[in-house]
Amino acid sequence: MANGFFTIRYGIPLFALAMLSFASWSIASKYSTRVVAKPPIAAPASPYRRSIVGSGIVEPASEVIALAIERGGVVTRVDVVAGAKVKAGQPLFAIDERDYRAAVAQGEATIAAAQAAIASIGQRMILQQDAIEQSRAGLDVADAEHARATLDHARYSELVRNLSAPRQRFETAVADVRKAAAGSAAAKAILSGARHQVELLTAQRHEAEAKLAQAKAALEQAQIALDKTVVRAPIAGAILKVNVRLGEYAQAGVLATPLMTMGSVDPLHVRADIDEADASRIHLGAPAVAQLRGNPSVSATLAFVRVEPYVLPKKSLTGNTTERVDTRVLQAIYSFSPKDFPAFVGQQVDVFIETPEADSASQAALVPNPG
Amino acid sequence: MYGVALRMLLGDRAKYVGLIFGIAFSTMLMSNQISIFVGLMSRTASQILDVREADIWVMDPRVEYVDEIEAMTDTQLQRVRGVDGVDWAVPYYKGLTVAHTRGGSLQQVIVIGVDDATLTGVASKMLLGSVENLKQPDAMIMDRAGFEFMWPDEALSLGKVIEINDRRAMIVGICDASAPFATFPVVYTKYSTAMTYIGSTRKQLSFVLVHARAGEDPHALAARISAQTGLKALTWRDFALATVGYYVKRTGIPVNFGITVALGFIVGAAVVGQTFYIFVLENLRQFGALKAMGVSNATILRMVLLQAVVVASIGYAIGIGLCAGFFEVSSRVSINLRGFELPWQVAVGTAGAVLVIIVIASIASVRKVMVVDPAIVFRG
Repeated sequence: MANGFFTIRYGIPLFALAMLSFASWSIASKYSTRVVAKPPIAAPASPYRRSIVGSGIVEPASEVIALAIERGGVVTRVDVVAGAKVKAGQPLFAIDERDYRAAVAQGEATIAAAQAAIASIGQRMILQQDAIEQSRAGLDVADAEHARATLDHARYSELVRNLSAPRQRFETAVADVRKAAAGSAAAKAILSGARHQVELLTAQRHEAEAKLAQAKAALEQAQIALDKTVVRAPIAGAILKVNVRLGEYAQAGVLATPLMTMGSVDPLHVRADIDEADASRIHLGAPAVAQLRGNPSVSATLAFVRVEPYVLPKKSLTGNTTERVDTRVLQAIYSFSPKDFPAFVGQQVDVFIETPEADSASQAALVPNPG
Repeated sequence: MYGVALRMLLGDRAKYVGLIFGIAFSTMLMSNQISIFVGLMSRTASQILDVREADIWVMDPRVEYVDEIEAMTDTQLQRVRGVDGVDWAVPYYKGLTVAHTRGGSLQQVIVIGVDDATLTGVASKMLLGSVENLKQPDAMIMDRAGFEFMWPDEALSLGKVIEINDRRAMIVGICDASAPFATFPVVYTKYSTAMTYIGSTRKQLSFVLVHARAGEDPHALAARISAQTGLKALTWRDFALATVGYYVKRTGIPVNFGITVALGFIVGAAVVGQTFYIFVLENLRQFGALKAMGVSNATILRMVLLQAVVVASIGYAIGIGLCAGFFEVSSRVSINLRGFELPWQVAVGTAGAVLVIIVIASIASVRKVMVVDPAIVFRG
């Protein structure tokens, strides 16, 4: 009885105390305030009190130049690798030139032939001059004969009238005059013919000269075509991407994947996409910074370049053909020196643009004035 | 005199134990049920509570709770970043999709896409691997319960490969995410990878997570974000409460638990009240004797209250201890019961309820003693 009483009196309260302690411990061990964590990698934060934010893409100041070739052909030479710095006019790659070189040789041969033809006509001209001289001499002989015959005729006609010469002799003199006149006319005709021959040769020489000019033009064309087998840098800059390799066929024209892209990389530009709803808040020339994605501590101050006054559909969508695009963005362009900001062309950055305290109607300054 | 009261209480061992048992049972039932209810409801907001980095959640105005998602266009992120007072803002994707295991089984999973650049929003407690592993290609982090669900009887390990939307997904980390209401495995991956897992939809952004600048009031900032962007911005606490509120309003769960809790209270009150009443009634002669000896009514009232308080305290202590013990055991035995625990608010609330029970019981019983005729002692 005493034992039972002891249990009732002290056991139950002690057990209760133990249970309460256990419960308190259990509650306390689970209790924790919300631990505020930091992002595993620092998140980009605006350095300005008020700002507009856009996602930007780094591009060359010249924008990306997609190099093309005018005539297709198999690539026989690639002179640069991606990343190479090039000067304006420096050869970049070339296609097979043999056909074009053959065309040049042919052009050169055509010119030589034309020149030879001209020279031969010149020689014939000299010969013709001799022939003219000969004909002229022949004419002189005929004229002299005619004069002599005429004098004979006059003498014999006098003698016949006086009957001091036979009639037969007179008639011979008359015939001689006619013969000499005919001989003179014939010599004249020969001379005239020789002169006409010179005119013909002159015309032939003109024709040959025209053919030479034609051949020269063809050669020039062939040389240009030969020259175009080598693609050269249009401006000084850096090669961004090389999509041609030896032995590949380089297609002419505008391609979805350009053969080679380049651009001027100092300074670089950032093209920032700003939601059209925020377009009214942007101020021209306001300070801006760009931060690298994944490492916002790397940032650079940007210099304002321009705003493209055409609000265009946002590009980085799913690319689905059935999608309906209703997100449009205003593109603002800023420049920075690649020394200050280690960003690659094509890399995405976060751009923060400061806005003044009061959002005034600054969009009016952006929209081109119709007046 | 109080010694007499206690002696009186301990003298009737059966009723003494009965009273303690009644209180303990009632305490146990109420605190247990409320704790499970609270645990279940907070599961609905698990994904919100697991994001420890953000102050504010920004979403489409039509979103009512975390599982109902109306996607936004990607540029909204930049607009939110431009609001005055925002320190940083990152995208956050949440969606459901189907995963295939190598074994060929299908499993619904919750896909959470965190910002590629900052990896903000992954549950903070990593068991294997690290959050930075998400930078690897085809990488994803799965929660422990999901791993054990998909590969039962296998030890946690990295490198397991599943297929989501015909794409390879490799486990590079295992975290301890809070249990989701829908019980599906939780898969954390990069935002861009999540996009490939769910196929192409034009609008993709589920939420924007915002951190306020130092000294900025989150509520004021949330209001400013709403005003400037036309989106809905809530602090994490408001959003969690909105989510819990949605389930409380739209499901029968609170009714079910409410009935059990009420049952605990009513049964407790009835058993304790009746037992205590009978106990007082049986000791009426003793009280009468005390009164005859000249003990005042106030002293007798204090004696009865002391008896009641002693019984209530012991009963409550045992009941709450049993409840705590239940959760300590259950959370260790089954991973499906993880996260269920006894919050201190529930313990305090139950104590209040027990106090109400014992006050009701005392008031019902003490009236008899107050009016008892001391002469009762001398009657047969």
